[in-house]
Amino acid sequence: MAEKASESSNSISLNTVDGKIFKVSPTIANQMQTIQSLIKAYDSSRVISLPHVNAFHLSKIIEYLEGKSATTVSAVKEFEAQFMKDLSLKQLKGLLIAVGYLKVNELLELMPKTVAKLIENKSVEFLRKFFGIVNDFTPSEEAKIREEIAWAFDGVDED
Amino acid sequence: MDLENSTPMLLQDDDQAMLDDLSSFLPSDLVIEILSILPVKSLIRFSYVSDSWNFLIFSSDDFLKKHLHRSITDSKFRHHHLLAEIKRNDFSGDMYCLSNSPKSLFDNPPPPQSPLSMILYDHPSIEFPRGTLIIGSCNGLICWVSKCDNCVHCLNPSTRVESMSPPLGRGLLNSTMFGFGYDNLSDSYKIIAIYKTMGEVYTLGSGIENRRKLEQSVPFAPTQWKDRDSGARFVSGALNWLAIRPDGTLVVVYVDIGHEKGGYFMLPSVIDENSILDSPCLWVLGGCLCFAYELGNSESTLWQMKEYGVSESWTKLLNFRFEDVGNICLSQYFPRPFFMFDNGEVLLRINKNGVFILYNTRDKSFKKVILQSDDVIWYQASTLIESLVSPC
Repeated sequence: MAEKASESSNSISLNTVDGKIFKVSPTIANQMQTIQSLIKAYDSSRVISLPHVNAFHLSKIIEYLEGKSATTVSAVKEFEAQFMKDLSLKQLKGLLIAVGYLKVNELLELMPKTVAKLIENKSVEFLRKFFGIVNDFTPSEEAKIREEIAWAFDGVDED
Repeated sequence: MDLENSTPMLLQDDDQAMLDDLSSFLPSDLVIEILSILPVKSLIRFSYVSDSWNFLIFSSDDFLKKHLHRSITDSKFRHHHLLAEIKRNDFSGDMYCLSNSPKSLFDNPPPPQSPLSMILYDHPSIEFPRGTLIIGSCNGLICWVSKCDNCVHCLNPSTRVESMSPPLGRGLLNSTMFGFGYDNLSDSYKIIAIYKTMGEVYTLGSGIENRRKLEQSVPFAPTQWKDRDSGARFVSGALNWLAIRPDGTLVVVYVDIGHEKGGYFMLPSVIDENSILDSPCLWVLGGCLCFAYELGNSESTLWQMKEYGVSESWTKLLNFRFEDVGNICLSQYFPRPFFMFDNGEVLLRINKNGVFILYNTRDKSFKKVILQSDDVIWYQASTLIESLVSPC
């Protein structure tokens, strides 16, 4: 779908980390702050290389930006819900990195909500694994804190 | 989403390394954004994911304020709770409890005859001994004074941290009116005590010996309608009480908590028509000061001050006869507004046994809701928004 929009002469070429070239319309490109500032800094005819963003993630972002222009508020909500539901955990994490790097305004609002909902009832161990954070508490420190806030561990989902 | 569900698309080794080290590849403000919309209970648990998260959650003032702002402005009121005053049917004691988010109560209503615990937020109920005066609640804190120990107590029920002042001087409690609120000029929480028209200020955490006189006190003494109702309504940076002017007119007296100055303004003018109001009360609904009263033991009226301090902005929100909503009136249990949703619906307790109505202020329709029918009398409620604010 990205390629289809590419025929117009002022489309912008984006090169993903896995070597695929996407041509996107200025309307789509301008919704990504990082691309916007790169276009301003260079000229728009140049191919812009994107570290941290692979073809799958970029195609999802374009799919989102095209899809959320639905006509009604409820249609947009439904589209957003389905869009997020279709992602695996791995895809969600990858997309989060891509969105954080490209600074896609709308998704910077939607994705934190999706991630917050996902992790809200999760365990500390799930969180460490999800974000790749190393536990820097000593076992005795950790045991002490766990005891102090034992009530906050009620009702935690299984990982 | 399934953690192990790898996708058919090709993932390079680099990708996998990035995903395993997600936080290093995310801008820190994106992680903070995610955390700022979590409930307090989740944050308390995640405070020991790592040292830096612990610092962010417990020690960063910026994060605390961002989280509070997110909670206050959440369109689904997910972090709002009803701080409800309830009584056991056998009058064994008064207690306060925190309900689940008011929206979730109606989106997923508990089945009829549910026990009280079904609709409570998971903090245990807060029971107070006799002689406790609730001063108010603000930004997730509940503040009260106790005649038993003569101290000011403050509790954040979401973090379960509580503080207690040294004993107050003697004589402060009798017929003293109180208020509790946040002063954004000094970024602190203040307790105001008014005796007749004289006022004193005490800043939370500053040491009770540092309490001082109000620079400019209130023009008329706040009126105490009921023994235990001595707390002010905090809205738009000011504490508000009802008072009777020497000419007999009911007015609102206030103390601007930042400038520590008092004043007064008028109530809606229509109430002056020789009518005797039952149980006049101030409330805060939808972030605005509200004024409710009963007339002739048969009808209930609620006004909202759309723009704080501007008497011309009083707007009648609702007016109904008790019989029209099926209320068998017992004077102690006049209808009480509990919460206002952003679509203009007002939740009112209309009977003593868990019977509520959701009154639509736009088309004047209503529907009846029964929250539970344990041996509990719902008395009145205010809104508490969960926060990380420390009561110390």
